[in-house]
Amino acid sequence: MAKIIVITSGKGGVGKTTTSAAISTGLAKRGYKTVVIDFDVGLRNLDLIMGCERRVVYDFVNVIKEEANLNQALIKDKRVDNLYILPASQTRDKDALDIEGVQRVIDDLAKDFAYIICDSPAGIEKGAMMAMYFADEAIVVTNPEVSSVRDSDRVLGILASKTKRAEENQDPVKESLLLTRYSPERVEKGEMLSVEDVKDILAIPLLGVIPESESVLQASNSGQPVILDEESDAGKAYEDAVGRLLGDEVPHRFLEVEKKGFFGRLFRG
Amino acid sequence: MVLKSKNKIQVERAFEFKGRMLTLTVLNVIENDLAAIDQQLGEKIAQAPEFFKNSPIVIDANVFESIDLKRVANIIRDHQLVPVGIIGGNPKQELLAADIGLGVFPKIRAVSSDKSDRKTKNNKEPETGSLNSVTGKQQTVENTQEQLVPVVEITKSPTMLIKQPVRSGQQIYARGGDLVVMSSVGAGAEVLADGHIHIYGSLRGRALAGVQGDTQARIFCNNLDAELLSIAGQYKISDDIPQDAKNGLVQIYLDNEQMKIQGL
Repeated sequence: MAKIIVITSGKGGVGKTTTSAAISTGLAKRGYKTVVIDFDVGLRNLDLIMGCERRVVYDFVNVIKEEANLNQALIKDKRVDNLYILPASQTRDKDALDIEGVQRVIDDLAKDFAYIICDSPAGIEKGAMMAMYFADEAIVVTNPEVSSVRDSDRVLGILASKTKRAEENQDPVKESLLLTRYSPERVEKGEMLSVEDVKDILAIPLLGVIPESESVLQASNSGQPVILDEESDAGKAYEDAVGRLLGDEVPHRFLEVEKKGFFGRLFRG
Repeated sequence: MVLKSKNKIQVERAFEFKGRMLTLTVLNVIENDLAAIDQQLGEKIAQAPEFFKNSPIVIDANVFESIDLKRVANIIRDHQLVPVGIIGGNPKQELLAADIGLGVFPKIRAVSSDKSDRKTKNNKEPETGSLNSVTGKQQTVENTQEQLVPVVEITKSPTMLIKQPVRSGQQIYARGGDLVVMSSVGAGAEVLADGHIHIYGSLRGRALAGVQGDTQARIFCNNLDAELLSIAGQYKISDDIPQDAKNGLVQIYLDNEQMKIQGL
């Protein structure tokens, strides 16, 4: 039975697609057959971040419209076994998504995959609704600032009322918080909400905290999911988050300002 | 109209009662002149015969104790309207209404009857009979609700219990009773109750207690960071809430129409 996880946030630019790429790559690396679907029809980005934009022939909308079959549209990742990408269409808009079509594609994928990761577009309109509708779990990506937290709160309300699980009175969608672009230095200066502030407002379990890191931008630009950069703090933090997603107890890192000792100062500059 | 029988499959439950908010047309008598009412009603209906055809009509018997209800009802029927009940009548009229097959809508509360009276006076040209379409929260609609719902709502549980956080964009209304929220009310969320509101987490959104006018209603919360507080229509916005009142267990109540915020 495939597990369907939506990566959502409400607000744009907080790191949903980066997270979708990292989490799906992390799951595949651990041996789970994983597919990541780009629901951002019209503003397709996931293929860029996954570095497969030149290999897109058919897309999600083609499959929904039955213009292509799934195997034609799925792109196999070249770096990690077990990882597939279902790209969005760049030339269509969200109206091309319909609930029966999405259901059919997800049902088909569920026969074959252990994890289906749905990369939601920003907003709470049709694309975002479609991405979350069939979810078993939701990872709510939030930046430590008030507007992002407010939007996440809104999305959590929608997850609790507008998803298939909610409508059919099943167990609720399991929600977890992923705090991205976290900077302990700025929290210390009072310029940013702390992990505790955000946890207090949203009142859901913390899946991980991804520190603000240059390696995220580099990774995006080079089409390499940041989790594959095993040296970077962000890559390590995503690796930890994947562990927690699978039920491991992993202590949180990168929450405190790094105290650089003498050697640290010498070598890390 | 208000009764709905849906379940044909289950024989042991052939119907259910439902309270519904409906728009009803009220015939508000301004002059006790039945001939004039008859004539003007005809003129009014001639303007939009399809709109009025078979419309249910409530007779407002508020103003004239002596009005001949039976004849008013017949005049209404003659114009192909359907008189369904009276509102605001005295006990004698209510008995008569039952005799001639009309329902009785319970008396309107002081506040809303006041409003509708004012509305009638302000909006009406001096004519003898007027058809006054009443919508939304005004008299007849509330009365429909009150008449039918108590069986379900008040005997079952007057208190609404919410266990999950109330998230931004959500609105929760405990009609006819108190509201208990076991978690927080987020910024951009709104909770309303006819009675008290108890919030065991933080209140960051809007809380409106006593929305039907109960000045005794109170709001209780743990950590007050509300966008808006209101009791029986009196309100305070975030900027008006003193900083020192914000921490810990707090109650908000009305004291001589003044909103008080007090630690507990």
